[in-house]
Amino acid sequence: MSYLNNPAIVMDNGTGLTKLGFAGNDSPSWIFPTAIATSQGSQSTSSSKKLDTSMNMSNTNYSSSTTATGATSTGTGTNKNSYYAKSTSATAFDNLSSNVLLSNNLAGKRGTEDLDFYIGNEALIASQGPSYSLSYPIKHGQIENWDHMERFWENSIFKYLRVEPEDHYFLLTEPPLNPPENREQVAEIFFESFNCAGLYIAVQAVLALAASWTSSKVIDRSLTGTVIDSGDGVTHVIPVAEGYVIGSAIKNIPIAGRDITLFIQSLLRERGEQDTSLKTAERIKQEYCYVCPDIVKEFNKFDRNPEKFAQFVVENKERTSKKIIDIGYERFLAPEIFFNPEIASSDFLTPLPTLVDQTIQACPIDVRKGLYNNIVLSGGSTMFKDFGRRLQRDLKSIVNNRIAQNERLTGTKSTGVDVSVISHRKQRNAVWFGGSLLAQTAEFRGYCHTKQDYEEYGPEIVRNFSLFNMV
Amino acid sequence: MLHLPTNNTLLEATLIELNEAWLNNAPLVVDRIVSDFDHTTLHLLTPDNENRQWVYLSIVLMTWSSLCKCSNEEFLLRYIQSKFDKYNNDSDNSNIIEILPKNQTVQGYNLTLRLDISKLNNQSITDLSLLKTHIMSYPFQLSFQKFNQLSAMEVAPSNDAVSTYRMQYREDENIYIQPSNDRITVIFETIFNDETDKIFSKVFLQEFVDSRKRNRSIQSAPQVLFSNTPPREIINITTNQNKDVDSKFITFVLFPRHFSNDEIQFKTICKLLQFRHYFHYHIKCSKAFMHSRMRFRVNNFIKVLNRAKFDSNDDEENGTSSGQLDDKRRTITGRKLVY
Repeated sequence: MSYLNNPAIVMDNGTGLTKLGFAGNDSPSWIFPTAIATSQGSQSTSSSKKLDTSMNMSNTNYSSSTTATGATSTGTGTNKNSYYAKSTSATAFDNLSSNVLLSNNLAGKRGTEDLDFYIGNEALIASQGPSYSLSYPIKHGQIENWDHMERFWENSIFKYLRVEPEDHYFLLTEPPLNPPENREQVAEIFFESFNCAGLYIAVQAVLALAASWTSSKVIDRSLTGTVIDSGDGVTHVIPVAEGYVIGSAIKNIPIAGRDITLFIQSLLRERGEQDTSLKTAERIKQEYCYVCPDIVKEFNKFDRNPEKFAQFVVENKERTSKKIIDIGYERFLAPEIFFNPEIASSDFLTPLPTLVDQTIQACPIDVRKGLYNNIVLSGGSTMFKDFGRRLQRDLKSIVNNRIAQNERLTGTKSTGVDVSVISHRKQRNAVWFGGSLLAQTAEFRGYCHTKQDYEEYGPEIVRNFSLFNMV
Repeated sequence: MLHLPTNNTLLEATLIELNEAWLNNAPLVVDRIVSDFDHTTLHLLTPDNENRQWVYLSIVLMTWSSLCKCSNEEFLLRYIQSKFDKYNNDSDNSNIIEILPKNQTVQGYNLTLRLDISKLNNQSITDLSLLKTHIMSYPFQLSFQKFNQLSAMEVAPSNDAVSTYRMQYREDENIYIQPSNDRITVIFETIFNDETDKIFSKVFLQEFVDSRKRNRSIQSAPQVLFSNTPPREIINITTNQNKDVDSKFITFVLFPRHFSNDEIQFKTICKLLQFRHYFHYHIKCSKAFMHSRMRFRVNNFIKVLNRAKFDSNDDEENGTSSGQLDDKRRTITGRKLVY
């Protein structure tokens, strides 16, 4: 088998960002928004002309690009940077035009429109023009538009990763509680459209647990723990026992990266800063924010020690004008909305530590200790300094209070519960990194379903994947 | 659009990232794999943690051994080095891009280049990202030389003088390049394992061959032929004599106008080397398109089926909150369950 030496491909398609890369690498090769810009076939005259000649056109385009007369494609690297840069945000800040979601339905089109699309950062740029409309095929972690997703994958495999799918094994991720039908759809696309050599679909939370094995705090490599996954849109608390997600206990809060950014923006606006764009707010969030142990003390600290106030310089693209933004209490106030949501919202008031506690309490009693013991962070919004420490402290006090109350009521002595929150350096792309870690092992291929298996049993084969037993 | 860049954009992006990190005084340590089509793996490695200026770029290709057979490995290495010589200025002792000697090549790779990250510029980065193309252009370059030799002869050379270069770029798949005195013939041998792919590829290739006849504007393109049996040019050297694998042969006939100067030569090589990627990409896109049409049809049929369902209006008239729940509890014929 010739593909034995080829590295496996790890693809993590999230609601906001897609992470693509090769197993064995320490970071994803490509990170770009899970966005696709498709051409709007509704341009009356030009498109109808296109339709007539579509059959010819497709051939002409093709052969002219394979012959010597085709345009050269070796551009300079500088202007490509914006297309191919790794993004940390799924938001298109430069997107001035409103995202008109006109007829995105490919099935209504009969020409070569199916080939006319861009993905990722290129999509964000293309959608600013009049002839493309942007859409995000994944909503709430689940794939909504299969047509778009299929083409998104097609382009990411051939154009970005430059691999022949027949030669590589693939590791894909899925959100917890993904319906098995969706898995089957994914398998159909990967085996029938792409003929991929082998496929493994892993649950994101499990991969995040695996990623935490790199932390020095982790001694035994178990797949039991609570994953706190906070991305751009929602924060999930997911209990995992021995590699299986306890679906009934999953809880989520509608507070995540975007809310923090908006909160910073509103603080900047209240103060009347010169630049209150979303982009500025996001950069302040990424570069200056941290979690404080005590909010009142931190206010006092700031008042006594004005050096804590930072300044942030915004330059415009041409670097001609400079705006200076003062950064004040939002440095510690912004991440505080995880712990005291009432400062930012009025409809959701449960702090994150309480929610984690509720989640674990909703699990079977025999796994609770393991869940308290191994709380793993994942996603960009858990990257704030001391986030883990604060969460651990708050959670510990909740647990200790309950134990104390229990001891008082029953009169028996408790052995105590150990709460530990694990943060590690790969937190931002924890899911992808966990996938990379697992897919580079020698056993990985044995866990995959191969093309032969698929042809033998059909799509329902992917309903079950055996778990990695890494212990 | 259905456009694949000639160079490896990921390699390019990684090198730019390294270069920028160096310029910002925060040099990175890398150990990364980058992949390319046809069993090609590239590896970027910082060999020395203290001295991050140097980065090893290694490449392993499936076709390497067959490339070496085209002449010999030493010439091949010299040819590759010549592609990057323009970036190494003589005044400086240390080269910016240099091929490491065979004994220093990173384990498991065919070739290792040592790069000076601090001195790379856009032009050299783009050229480095074309590394695979540069390596695989070697037999083409040999054929161009051979062609010049042959065409300079006054009498047409006999068939014995004709040499064919073979590039085995995948298992069971080869590219044959045969220079003669008035043309160069490039033959792709390709195989499809999947039944659906076989049909798509057949239809596609037939249309592809015809497109030149139909369209007047591409008359200057090389002639394309397609057959299921090995063309006569290579009948003696095809490796797959056993007929259980049904290879397809695609022949491109290059005339002198397709390689008249260096620039056109390079473009021709790029386009030819990308042929298989485009071909396979196109088939996958066609399948994706078929799938989206299928989904559309299924949705339409489901709509028709849904029309045959009983109305749920009588439920809503009750106005009870439990009406919603009961709504779902129906037998397969649409009758409401009462219990």
